[in-house]
Amino acid sequence: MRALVIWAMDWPVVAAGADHAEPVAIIARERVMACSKEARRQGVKRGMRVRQASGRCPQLRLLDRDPEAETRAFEPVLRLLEKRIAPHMEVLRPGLIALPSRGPARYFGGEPALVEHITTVLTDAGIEARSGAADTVFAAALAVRAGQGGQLVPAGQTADFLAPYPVGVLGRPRLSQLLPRLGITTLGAFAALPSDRVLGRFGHDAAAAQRTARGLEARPLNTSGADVDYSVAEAFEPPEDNLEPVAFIAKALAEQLHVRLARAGAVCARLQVEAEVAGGRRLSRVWRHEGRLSALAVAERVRWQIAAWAETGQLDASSAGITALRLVPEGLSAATGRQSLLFGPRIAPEELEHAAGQLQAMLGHRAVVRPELAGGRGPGERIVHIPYGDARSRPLVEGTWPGRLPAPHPAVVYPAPRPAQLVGADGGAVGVSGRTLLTQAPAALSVDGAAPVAVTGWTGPWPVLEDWWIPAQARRLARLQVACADGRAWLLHIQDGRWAVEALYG
Amino acid sequence: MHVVSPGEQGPSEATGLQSGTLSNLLPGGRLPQGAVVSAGDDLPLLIALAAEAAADGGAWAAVGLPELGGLAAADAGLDLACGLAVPEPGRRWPEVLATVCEAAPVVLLGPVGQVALRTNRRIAARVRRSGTTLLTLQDWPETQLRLRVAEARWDGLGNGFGLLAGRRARVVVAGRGAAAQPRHAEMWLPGPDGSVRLITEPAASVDADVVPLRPVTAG
Repeated sequence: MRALVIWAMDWPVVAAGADHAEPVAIIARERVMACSKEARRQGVKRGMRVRQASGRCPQLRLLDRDPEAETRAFEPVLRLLEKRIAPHMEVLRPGLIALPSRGPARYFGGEPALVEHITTVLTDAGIEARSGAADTVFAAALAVRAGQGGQLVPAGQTADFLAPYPVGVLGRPRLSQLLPRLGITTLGAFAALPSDRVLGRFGHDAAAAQRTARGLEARPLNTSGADVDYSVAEAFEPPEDNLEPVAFIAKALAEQLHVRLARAGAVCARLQVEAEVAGGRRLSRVWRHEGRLSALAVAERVRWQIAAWAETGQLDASSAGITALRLVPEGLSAATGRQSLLFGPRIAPEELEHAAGQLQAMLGHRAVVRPELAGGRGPGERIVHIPYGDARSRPLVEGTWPGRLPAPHPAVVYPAPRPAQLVGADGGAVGVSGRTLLTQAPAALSVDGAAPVAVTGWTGPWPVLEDWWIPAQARRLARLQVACADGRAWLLHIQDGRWAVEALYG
Repeated sequence: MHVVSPGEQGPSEATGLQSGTLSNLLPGGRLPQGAVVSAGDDLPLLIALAAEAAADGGAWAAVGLPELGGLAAADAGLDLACGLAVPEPGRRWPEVLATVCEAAPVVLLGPVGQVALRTNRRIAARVRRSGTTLLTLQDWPETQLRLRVAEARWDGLGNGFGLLAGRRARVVVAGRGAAAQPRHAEMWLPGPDGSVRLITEPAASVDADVVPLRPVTAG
């Protein structure tokens, strides 16, 4: 797999129609996002605060970022490249494209020749661009910025190329905070850690990040279930030529798609946005997704894309409007990480995700959990604690569990049963006969060495025989519900002749 | 002492309240935000308070409660999908608490032992700033609202037969300021289906030999 990334430099500036000879900076979230050549010459840099940039360059003209205009302006460039180079262009963001380079390289006679051809095509169109290539899109995106005019990393040397980069380039704030504290500052050092330890300590998202740092695809492609179609679509009857309703539907479609993918436990590497116009013609554009876009972000991109198509005249002509909008996920892989913002049928609030990340950085991946229902009979088995951010390893299969205790359920469930003494009226221990009958009525209960409390009511015993076909796991016990004079009720079980308390009802 | 009868509604303008729940006992019909509420060492009561506070589907977090019964919480109305838990925060529990208070409007705190007065005050200030409702299991000096179970009795068990049906509890609420007058009520905490509500029917006469049958489902 070889990926080529083409970077049209300072695209936000070009899209805003500004001239490189005058100092212009594009501002997003009060920081400089892109600047013209003249501004750069005067010392303005990406990531600077507005005030600092204005200080360096007093005549600096500030413009707000307009991603819709950038997408619109980029659309003709994409069409040009698709016509002259290769049809499978993937948009990472307006100005940055990725494409699989093996085919086109073969066609043009090698990667350097391909890069030269691309540069010629774009320069003829008046666009300044550079190209970088590597074994993965992530590495290629870094390679395009390296060297004089972009670097072509030879096959198999991607890991060496990535090694000196700082861990911040992975784009994962939690890891960027945590790894330096452990003395790991470069991708090379991160890649050298044993992968099973990384998985156990930091979770699946970090394991995917480590694969990226090693120059591998973050998630192995999932080829099973390839015939399942997760795309979502909406038809417009009558055809819609007003863009607003289509954009509105796009948001609902994006959310639907995310729910579908989350339920299937899948992540898509790319998302194809397809619009069908009256007359049967289809327009499509592929955007990079990798599970890092929220439903809102997807909806935004669809809106920019449709606006771009309308602006470049592809939606007019004979067509009377859009008849269908389709979102097709491509490059599915198993999502065993948290990048998706969903859990269950709800969307996790961002603050909770953020807090969970901070706490896991503080205490370890397994210290922060969320409870989920599972199968089982006893109250301890029916809830499992999944480390926050892990998807469920096996979906819950509802079956029948004869012998399961009904509501009301105990409020206190001990992670490990606590030893107890159950004695009868004569002070002797209460036992359970082979026919699951108590040898005598219980009179007093003492939990964990506390003073015995009188028993006011009891019921059971219910025998439980689980996993008898697996000798190592076989459990044979009997459960009992007991109410005591102090107003508490307990769930006890006897195993191998010893009583223990599983749960306290209240 | 002011006894709340099931038909009486707490003074509240909110229209979404079900009649006969814990909210009837609370001053203003709801739990205060940005305040500490204690549950008098009774975990079912803490769970009921959490379900009440997070009733609109809000996020919740549980710190230092490794024994929290998830099924009981789900039955009481707490949405398990909306929350996270840090069962063993260890010595850094104040930091953990501060972090979750920023993120979740409802936080449950388990037994953390003796708390220094300074830590107490700092946490109360943090909770006030973030508008979180902090529900603690143990009693705290900076508590605005104190609930406890004064007496409780489990129904349903006979002498070798029956099934736990529910706990009748007398819940007492005392607070500061507007809630200075203590209120109390008889509640199912939990009731036969796990929900929490005021008791409407009079208690059946205690007869250890007769237990009313109720249907239970298998599995």
